[in-house]
Amino acid sequence: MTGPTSPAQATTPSHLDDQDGTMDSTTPTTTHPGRRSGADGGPGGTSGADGGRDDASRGGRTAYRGDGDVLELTGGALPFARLLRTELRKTVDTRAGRWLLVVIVALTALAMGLVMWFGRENGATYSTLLLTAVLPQGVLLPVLGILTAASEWSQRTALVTFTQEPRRLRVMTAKSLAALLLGLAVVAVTVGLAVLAHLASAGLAGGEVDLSLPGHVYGGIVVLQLAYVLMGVAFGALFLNVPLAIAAFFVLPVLMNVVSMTVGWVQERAAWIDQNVAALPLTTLDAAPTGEQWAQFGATSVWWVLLPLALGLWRVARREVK
Amino acid sequence: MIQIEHLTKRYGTFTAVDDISFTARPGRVTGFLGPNGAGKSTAMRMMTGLTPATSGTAHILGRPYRALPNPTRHVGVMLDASAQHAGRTGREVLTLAAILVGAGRGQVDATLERVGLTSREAERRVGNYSLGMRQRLGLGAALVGDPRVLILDEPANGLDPGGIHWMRGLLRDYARDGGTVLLSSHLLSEVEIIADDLVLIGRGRIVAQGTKQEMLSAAGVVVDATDRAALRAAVEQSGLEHTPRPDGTLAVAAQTAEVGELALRHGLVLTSLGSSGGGLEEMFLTLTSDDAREVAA
Repeated sequence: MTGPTSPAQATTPSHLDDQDGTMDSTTPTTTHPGRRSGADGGPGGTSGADGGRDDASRGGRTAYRGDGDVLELTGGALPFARLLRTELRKTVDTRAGRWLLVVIVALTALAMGLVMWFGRENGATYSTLLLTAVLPQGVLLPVLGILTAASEWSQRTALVTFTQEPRRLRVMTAKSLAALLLGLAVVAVTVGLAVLAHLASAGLAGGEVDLSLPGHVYGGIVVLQLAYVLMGVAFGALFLNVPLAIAAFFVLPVLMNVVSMTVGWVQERAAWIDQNVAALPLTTLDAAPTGEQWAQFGATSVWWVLLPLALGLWRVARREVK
Repeated sequence: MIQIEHLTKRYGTFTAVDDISFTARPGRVTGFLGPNGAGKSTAMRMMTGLTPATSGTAHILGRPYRALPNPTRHVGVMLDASAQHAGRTGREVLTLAAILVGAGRGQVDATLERVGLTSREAERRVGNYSLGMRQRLGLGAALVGDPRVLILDEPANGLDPGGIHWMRGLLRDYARDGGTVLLSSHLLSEVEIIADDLVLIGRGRIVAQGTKQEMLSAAGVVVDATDRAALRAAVEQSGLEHTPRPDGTLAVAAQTAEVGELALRHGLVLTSLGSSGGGLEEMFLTLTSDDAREVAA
């Protein structure tokens, strides 16, 4: 029952161009010595064990022939686009992922509904609608990032993912990009919803339709939301545990706030340390952020996004996957 | 082809895998057998780059796993059938695996059929799967890239006897087409059915390895005859090592053919002759009892 090998075939190393002409263009001859010596740790005296067995007698899959089995690997590396595609798909093919997106959009709609209600007399302005919706998203989009980075460790599917692509930082790059793309999509949907809400509100109240908004506000919203998504990814990678990462994500900024209110030294430099403070100018209507304000936002992003991200990636790259 | 050389993993002072070396060859199903906690899973994680080895090497198709381009096209891996998101459907799990290896939708359907999951089952969430169904799904995900090597940790766990025989057929066909299969198990009976070669591991060390036949014959045969006294006399006369068993049969350290010839020469009517499953079982227990955890008895 152990297979078709006849001893004669197995001991004849010159079976290489046998029967069928379907052999791969590659010639497996070159690898014999290495393979034979490599077999020394193997089951002692496996009957006629070496390379001859598989290629000699089978008309099966010709790609799996002989010692070519060892060195001849067809096909290139895993294309990044495929990796990104699967990571995007993974964020929305579970109920948790889908519901998170649904909740984000629903809360956005709810926030806009409230604004429309309060502005029912004169019509809600487009900028108010848009900026109000940004708030709940700033809370929920990071959760998307956290789930993307950490849920595979909770669900143990990391075992599968990192055997599919053992270059772990490549996987993390795909995950980050997937989360950022979803974040962008959410921002786009939000803008669309804000436009619709404003049109509806203006129509109902008989107000004026005004969709003008300074360009820097759009830029600010995009940068801000993407930074939050990436911060979620960073915290997810740092803790590799969804509940822990979410807790840390919400508790640490509050702690930061408390510290910055109580410690004078921190308070004076809050714009350089506390991201919530540094983020304010990004969505201010009156004026675009100054160079210093951008620098402040950049600096807080280093502490709150890039540093945890670097630590998280280092952790992912080294951690034993069980 | 999987070549393991002096592979070792230490956690602090604990040595989980201790200098193991063996080769799993194309065309063969190699069973990696040992009690729970013997180091099988750790060794398999080292082979697939999930756990860094303390020392030693594991080469698959001539390279370390991490150096394989798009590894799941060449190596099908299932380390834990339960490591799946409970919220995904079986089909979705296979689809994700298929995208990564560049296989099409048709390949997903073909694989579902190959591992015996109906399309209705494939639409159900994995959380509702039995362990046996998860094993089939995991095997499917490993096979979807049409790899040359399979590394499966406890694939028969949770399968009913029919499922085990199905898996034997599938893996045997796969090996016959030139594939290499390495599968682990803590149950001798499973491995005995499925594997061609055996590697026995206990407390991180390899305690025996060889072909199944060798291991079986090393464990001897059990023989019985209508005339037990004459049988015993004949065996004694031949000088073969033997032990009477409680049930009246005789355990002989010989090949079945030798005992058969002996019976022929002495005109004995044998009522049973074989390397009984118990033979390897005893060997397994002997080989691992010193190494196994004390509770394992």
